[in-house]
Amino acid sequence: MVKYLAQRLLLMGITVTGMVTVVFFLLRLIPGDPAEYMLGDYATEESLAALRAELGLDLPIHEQYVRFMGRAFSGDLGTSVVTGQPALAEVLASLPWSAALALAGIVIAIVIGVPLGVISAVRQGSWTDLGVMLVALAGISFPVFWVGLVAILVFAHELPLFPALGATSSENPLTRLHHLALPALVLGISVAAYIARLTRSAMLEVLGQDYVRVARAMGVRENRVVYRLALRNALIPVLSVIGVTFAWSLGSAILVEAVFSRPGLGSMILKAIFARDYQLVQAGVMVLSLAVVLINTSLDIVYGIVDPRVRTA
Amino acid sequence: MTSTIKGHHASFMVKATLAVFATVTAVLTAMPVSFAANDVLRVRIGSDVGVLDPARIFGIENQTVAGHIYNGLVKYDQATNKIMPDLAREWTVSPDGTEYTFKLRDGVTWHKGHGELTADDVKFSLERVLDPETKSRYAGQLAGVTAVEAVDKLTVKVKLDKPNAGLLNKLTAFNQGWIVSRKAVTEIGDKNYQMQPIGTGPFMFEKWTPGNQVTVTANPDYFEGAPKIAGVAFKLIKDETAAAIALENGEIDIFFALQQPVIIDRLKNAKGVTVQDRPANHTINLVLNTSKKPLDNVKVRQAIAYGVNREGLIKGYFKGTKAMGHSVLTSSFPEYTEDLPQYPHDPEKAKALLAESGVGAFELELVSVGLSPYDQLIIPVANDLNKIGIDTKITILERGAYLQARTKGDVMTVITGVVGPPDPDSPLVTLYATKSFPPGLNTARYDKADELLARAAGELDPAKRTGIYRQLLKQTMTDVPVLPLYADRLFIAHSDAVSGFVQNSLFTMQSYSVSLNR
Amino acid sequence: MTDVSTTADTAAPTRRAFGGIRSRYLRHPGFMTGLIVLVLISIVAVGAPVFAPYSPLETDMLKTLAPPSADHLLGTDQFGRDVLSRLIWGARISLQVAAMVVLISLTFGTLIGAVAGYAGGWVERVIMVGNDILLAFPGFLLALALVAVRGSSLDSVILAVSIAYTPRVAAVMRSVVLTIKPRPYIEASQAIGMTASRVLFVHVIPNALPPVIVVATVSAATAILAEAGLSYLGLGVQPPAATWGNVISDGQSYIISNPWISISAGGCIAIVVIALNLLGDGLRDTLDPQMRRYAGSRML
Repeated sequence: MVKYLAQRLLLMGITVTGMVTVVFFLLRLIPGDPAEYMLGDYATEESLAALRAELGLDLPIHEQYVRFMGRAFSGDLGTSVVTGQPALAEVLASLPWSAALALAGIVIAIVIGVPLGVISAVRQGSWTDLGVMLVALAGISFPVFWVGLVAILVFAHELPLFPALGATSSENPLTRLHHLALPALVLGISVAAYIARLTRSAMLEVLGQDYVRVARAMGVRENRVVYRLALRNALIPVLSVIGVTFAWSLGSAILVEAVFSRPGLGSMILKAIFARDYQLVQAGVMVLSLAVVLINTSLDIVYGIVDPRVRTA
Repeated sequence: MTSTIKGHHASFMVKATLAVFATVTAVLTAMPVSFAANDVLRVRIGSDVGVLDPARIFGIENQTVAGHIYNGLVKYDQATNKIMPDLAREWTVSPDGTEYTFKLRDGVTWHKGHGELTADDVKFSLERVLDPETKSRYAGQLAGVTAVEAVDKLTVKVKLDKPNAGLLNKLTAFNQGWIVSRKAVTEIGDKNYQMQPIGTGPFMFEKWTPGNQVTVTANPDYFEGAPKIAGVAFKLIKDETAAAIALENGEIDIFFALQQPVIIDRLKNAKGVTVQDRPANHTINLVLNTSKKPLDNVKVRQAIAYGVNREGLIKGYFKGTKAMGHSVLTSSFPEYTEDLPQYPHDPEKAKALLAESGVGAFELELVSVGLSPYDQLIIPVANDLNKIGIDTKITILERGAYLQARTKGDVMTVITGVVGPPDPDSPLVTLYATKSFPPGLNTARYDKADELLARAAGELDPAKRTGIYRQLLKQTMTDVPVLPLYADRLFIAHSDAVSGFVQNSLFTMQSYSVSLNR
Repeated sequence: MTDVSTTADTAAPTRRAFGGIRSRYLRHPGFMTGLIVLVLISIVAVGAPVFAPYSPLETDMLKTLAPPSADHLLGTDQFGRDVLSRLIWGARISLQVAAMVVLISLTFGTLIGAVAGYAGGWVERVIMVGNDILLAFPGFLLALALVAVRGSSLDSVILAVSIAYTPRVAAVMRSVVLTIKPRPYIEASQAIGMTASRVLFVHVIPNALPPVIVVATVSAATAILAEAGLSYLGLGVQPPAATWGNVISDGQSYIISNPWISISAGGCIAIVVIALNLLGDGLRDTLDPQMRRYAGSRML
């Protein structure tokens, strides 16, 4: 077990370092000079040179890389070239927004997706099954931002049940939930559709296994077979996919945030990409990748505890 | 599989679900808390802020927020654009026009306990912009200022190398004209000062939540009296449809920078909403690079001017919300005139001019920044030019790449507007003077305006000065290095809870005069 | 359904895996629906110049934002362009993006995954660590960054989505190869002295293809969604080109006054993506029921 843990943690370190490296070099390929962007219309050659020196942009790229990595390990992710604020502070300010959206989305997805998948599998071939699967098919097929647009049109405009803005500065938790609800539902439903399809497949697989057949043959009540025996085992693959889903929902969250004018890590990175704010993009991706990898690793570890077969794989 | 392992699963799932719920609740309650008082004005902005230091500021959102925090020596009256006293009670100009003496108000205090305003702060602010170390984008605006002297605590002298009739325009409360505190900037440090501004204005900076909002609170000690509202929350809402719904649902009070014609139309008919509009100080232009073949040929440029269906653009796309651009000065300038060469849409004349020019078939690259409506209106413009036989290619660049293309100066065309104060030099010098390239502002690379511009700056008689500016307009509309596509009109919508709001023509907004009655 | 699993589970040489179940496709209602829809849309896309009533690019400033009518079945956009014609031409670009992404990600993903799985040892480890690093990114974010690097264009979108998707194909390919590797006919081929690359191309890749084809249909669907997402953020195919993503983002500002612009374009995307998912489900059920993990398209 200790060896397994150590392996996972080592892999996590390599992955995060690798991701940051990829991003660092990728961003250096972006055409455009952040110094010119900052100084804009009134830039002069001298002021550009001074700013490049200040940002270390005049150093050879490998030196910039070493400098960046050295500082990153001490928690200094640089300074946003646009605002002059520490990049980490700006990233941490947008992190709670993303965390709330992604977590609420995943919770909604699990709460809706798993039961639908189970019902569908239990009633395989019925109209219920067909209906659920058609809805789930639509859920994974509509572009998430388009669903968001339509949701605003219907639930904020035609029937003003929810605010059009996905964020509020109110300190009232209920107001916050009210603003979070629509974006979280839009994100959650697309993930729920995926989880429902996955749960159904996993349930069908388990229900076809010998030990389930044996349990049925032995006269164990159907409810017990389905919910005690089959569901528990079917949830293992579902659980392992949630980590992956989390990363993907952070990607979709960029679009959901854009539709609902909601702040967050995704929209911050998007803004920084547009502004050529390397330091901020780096910091954002670093924190984001750390979050994704942390969640995947901890799920892996949990998975390893739950299912010892995984450890040897 | 043993049952113990399965038991494990169940409890794990329960725990995991509980943990997730607990985290959501924790995150929700731990989010940055701000005031939610009923008398806080909520204003929509379309782009995030990020730079509130007057020496480095750019963008209408930053300028709007900074306008709430800072004062200048003088200011534009929001309604009439007249230059009014601000921090300076009064001022005198030496007979030769090279020395301006400003008497400051007594007892003006800086926000958050940074002491009292003195002449030294004014000296510091202007010298800071001029200092190459500051890397201010507005150093050029104060070119010609040779010295700033603090004569006594409340008297400051600005000395010029030669008379400049436009100096007061450069010292109004906007960009380089905003006065900062020596003590505050020194204590906070240049870098942090960008987002920790200290001013003397009616509102004090409170908090910036990136990607969400920036808040300012009322300054109870403001020298013209405390504002009637508790503060302003500038909320970032990019999409105009979402902002319109938010205004109708009472989630915001003021919709700043309203652009979309259908949304203007919709809000005009909405209950409980008032739409205000007025001509802006800027036109949106198609800049034709006179250093690139075949745009060096004036006939080709005139053909383009006749070929673009500007009337159709204004009527069809903008639904009449914009006005015809007769020159780069709009009707909000005293120098405005329509007694200029006109270019009504005339494809036949355009084709004839192209034939006369002797230039064969060519490809014209149309370049715009990726911002609405500029990246939109370029589409019908391209289509119009295709119809007169010019092969067009559209390139939409994001801001950084767009600025770089302009700085290099080898793009054939760009779409641009010069947003700013009602100072004729602001668009004219920016678009036509050779000193504006580099840094890429005069993307037309036009080189025939310098003499008239210099004469206008040195002319202290207002009527003669206007005459020189009009002569320049006539010349530039004959040469068409810059084709004004339309004269911008500014729209702002607000709910009926808002009263006393006065719209300006600078493409910013000011909440000081506003009161709220919900 | 379950009886098919035995076909895929045993060491079935390629011909049998494909040949014995051909008739099953025809009996799979989802597969057939998906196939018919895709064929129809492909016909429309190829015949766009014939089917589109107007030019997709021609602006008409006298007829902007017209509601649906007999002249313009789906109305016109803010420049007076016919929305239906733009959607018909947009089908070309969407299908082109999907086809190119499948081609590129399948070619490279299959090769990378097969080499890693078959070679084993440190080669596998190095490749898979690199693959895992790319996999750990939210794919859409990676595609976004790649488009920012190359500048927005059709090529950039295709390349970015392909690069973001290739590691996913590679991961599937490798895991499939790992299950095929110990099978007797592979060992036999090695024993009779076949070179490693020959074994890879003659036995390993063909036998691993069924699940990869399932992944390919999913990646086609994902590519279409990703193109739309990038266009929505203003990073996709440059205007005035007619793509479904561009039509949605053009129509976004008019969602209240002229909702049909965005809604019809969203509908087009959904129809093609549903068809691809149905096709994928059908292929999964018939070719390889073990592929349960692949529950359909998603935004990368």
